[in-house]
Amino acid sequence: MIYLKSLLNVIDNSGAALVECVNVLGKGNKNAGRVGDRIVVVVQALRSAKLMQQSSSANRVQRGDIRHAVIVRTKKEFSRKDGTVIRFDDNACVLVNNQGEPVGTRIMGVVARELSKKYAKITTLAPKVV
Amino acid sequence: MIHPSIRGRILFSASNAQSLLCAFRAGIQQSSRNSVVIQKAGYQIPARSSKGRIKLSPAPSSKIPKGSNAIDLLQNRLKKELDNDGWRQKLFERSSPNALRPGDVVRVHFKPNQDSTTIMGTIMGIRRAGLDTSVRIRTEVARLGVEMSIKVYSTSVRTFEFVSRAAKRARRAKLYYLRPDERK
Repeated sequence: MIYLKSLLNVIDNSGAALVECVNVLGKGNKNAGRVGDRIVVVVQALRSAKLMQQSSSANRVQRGDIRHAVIVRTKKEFSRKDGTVIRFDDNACVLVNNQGEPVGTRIMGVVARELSKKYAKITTLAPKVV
Repeated sequence: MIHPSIRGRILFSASNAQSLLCAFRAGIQQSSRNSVVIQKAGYQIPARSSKGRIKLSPAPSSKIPKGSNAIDLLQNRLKKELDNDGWRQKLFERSSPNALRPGDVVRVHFKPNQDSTTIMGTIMGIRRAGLDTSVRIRTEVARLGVEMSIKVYSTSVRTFEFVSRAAKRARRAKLYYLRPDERK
């Protein structure tokens, strides 16, 4: 359940490390963000410089930037059609641009399988999809 | 004899239907007998004219034998469909000596058309609820903890492969203490 003021880890190499959710897009009032939802975030913390060198300077993100992101993991459990209920140990997102394409070029970590329909590029970049 | 003014307003249950039926019949001797619709359900709709007559279809016959429980029949049928050999039940019933217990490491094999066809992790708990029985499994995927609550009788689960027994018998039924402590 991601909503205003939720902190999320960023698991791509866009430069951001921690972002704060400001708005959940495409949902009504009082509907929290779930895996696969798009959110508006403010960058709160950046990654170390070593990782940032790998991404281009145009894509590099600054602290205080307002960006779009896609939720890829939530600590709040979500259920699948076969009855499986899944929960990750943290909340994580991937920064995207206005067209929905990821800003970074690599993704580090696990993403949920729910993204495969709308954000196929993220699932192909991800090393592990659960 | 029932007074004609209250004849049409009597409501009665099946228990006293028989007695009231006689009274009613006695009461309608004065009116035309063809205009009354009498049913077996235990209540009558008196029709004063042929216009008000309500046509009633007979009650459908029961599809299950009399005295049997529909839910039990359904559960038995589903069990035959989902777990014909009974191996799923044996894995999770308490009395079986080879059953899975909290603390055991198990590998769940899913049907091949999904991204992660195998999940290996520790059983955190077993929720026994007949056909809705589920196992809560905790794994580490890419250094991140993932918990999955998997339905034992789900058709997307191919098999549960026993990997190793817990070193020491878990003194709890639900091992929530395996979760990382957020305070640290």
